[in-house]
Amino acid sequence: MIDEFFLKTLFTGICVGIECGLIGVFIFLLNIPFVGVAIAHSAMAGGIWGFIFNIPTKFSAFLLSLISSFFIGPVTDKAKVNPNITISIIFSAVMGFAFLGIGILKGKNEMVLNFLWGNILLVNFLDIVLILLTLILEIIVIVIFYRQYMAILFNREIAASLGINEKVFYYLIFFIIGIVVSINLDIIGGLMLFSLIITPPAIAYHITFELKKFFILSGVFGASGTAGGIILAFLFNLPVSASVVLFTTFVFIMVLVFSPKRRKYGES
Amino acid sequence: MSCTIEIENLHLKLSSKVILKNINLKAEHGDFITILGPNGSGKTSILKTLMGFYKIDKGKIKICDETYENNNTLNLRKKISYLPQNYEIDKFFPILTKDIIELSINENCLKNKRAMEIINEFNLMDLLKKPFGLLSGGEKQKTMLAMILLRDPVILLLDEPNLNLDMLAYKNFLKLVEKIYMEKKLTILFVTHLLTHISDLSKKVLILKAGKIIFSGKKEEIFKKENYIEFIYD
Repeated sequence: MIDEFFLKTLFTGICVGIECGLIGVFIFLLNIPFVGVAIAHSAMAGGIWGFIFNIPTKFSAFLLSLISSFFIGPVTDKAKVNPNITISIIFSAVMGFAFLGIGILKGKNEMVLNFLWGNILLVNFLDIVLILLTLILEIIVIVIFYRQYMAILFNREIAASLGINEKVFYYLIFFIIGIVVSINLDIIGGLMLFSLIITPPAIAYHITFELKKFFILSGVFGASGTAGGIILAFLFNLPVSASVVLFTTFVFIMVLVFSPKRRKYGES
Repeated sequence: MSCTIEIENLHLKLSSKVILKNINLKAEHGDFITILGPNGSGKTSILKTLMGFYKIDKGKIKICDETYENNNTLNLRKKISYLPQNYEIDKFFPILTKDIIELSINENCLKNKRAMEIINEFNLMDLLKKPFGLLSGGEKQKTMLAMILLRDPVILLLDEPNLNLDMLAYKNFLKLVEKIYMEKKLTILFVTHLLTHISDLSKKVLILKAGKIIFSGKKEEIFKKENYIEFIYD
């Protein structure tokens, strides 16, 4: 069973799990779960229009994802609304854009759906390099700007009052989310991606009160969720995405039931 | 370091709504000024404008003889410490009391002499390893005050620190602010909507109503006014 194919899938899965777990901390604590969906659909719209204009679809998907993520922060601040409102507006706009493209394509749209479904088993060398580069970028940003992000996640106004250029750091979060989603989307698919950016931090939230440990645990649960899911999928010949999502959800339920935080501090 | 605050003819509009009209205020170094007024009168907006969070429509703000421009906001903020009205977080939010203190110093507070002094003075030692979200309102305010004081400000802006505190917790918090004021002679702007919460050390009170200053003087002078409750809140 332990062959190169399996190890390559497992290694990719673990890297993606850490990557999504780390970025998930921002998504979870800023309470913007829908951001993954919006950026994923931007990638789909980008892929469709890339196909129409004969541009490499991976590139056009990546570009539109980044453009969408780049606008979320500034538009939210300018319109003085909850970021979820901006995210929803961007989501509906890119969906409109995607459907327009689907209309033009008239039935040749099967390939673009790959952006939402993906397949980790088909990962290639370039994908692995991009995943590793994104992971390194994420870790560098978190380690170097840890204090700034701690202040921003706690309270943006307080971060600003402490002399932190919080707008730049806040917008950078969305930009990195955009990179992570667009790099991973056609590799692991939307279902697995959404699960990996939300469930690991939700698990960590029930275990620790320390932000540093929160980042580490979220990365660890992302990695162990994908590793566990991939091993089960190979053992029992199951679809990988479904196996990873269900395994991660199972871990979440277990932690929720035995939550050290809730047991110690109660519900009140 | 001596530092004054000068606000001249300040007008502020937010989303086309007029928030502040013709505000003039001068705080000399070491002044303790209370800004009193009903909810929605623009008290918080004055503090946020001083922090450079809002772009003003008309008027001028000078902090320590330096006028607010687009490019010096971050620099001017270094001189001011601001305690906002609302920083509520979920009780399970992953941040410890120690982390809050360290936001100002960027190092382990146990290894920082000034931090240790203030931690001991504010009796925070036992709280350091506790999750910030689980502290009582009074403990949170004490921690936040310690954190912003560690920035060595010359100006302290306190926005309704009495909110969410019971009477005893507020009394203890005010005692702490007064002690700091006496020791460090900071310039303090203290916002409240309750007349009974004005510190005896505050020699000047401004009353704000619908974005305008309607009174400027001593606390005692307010009580001499006929129907002073209606005068402030109606």
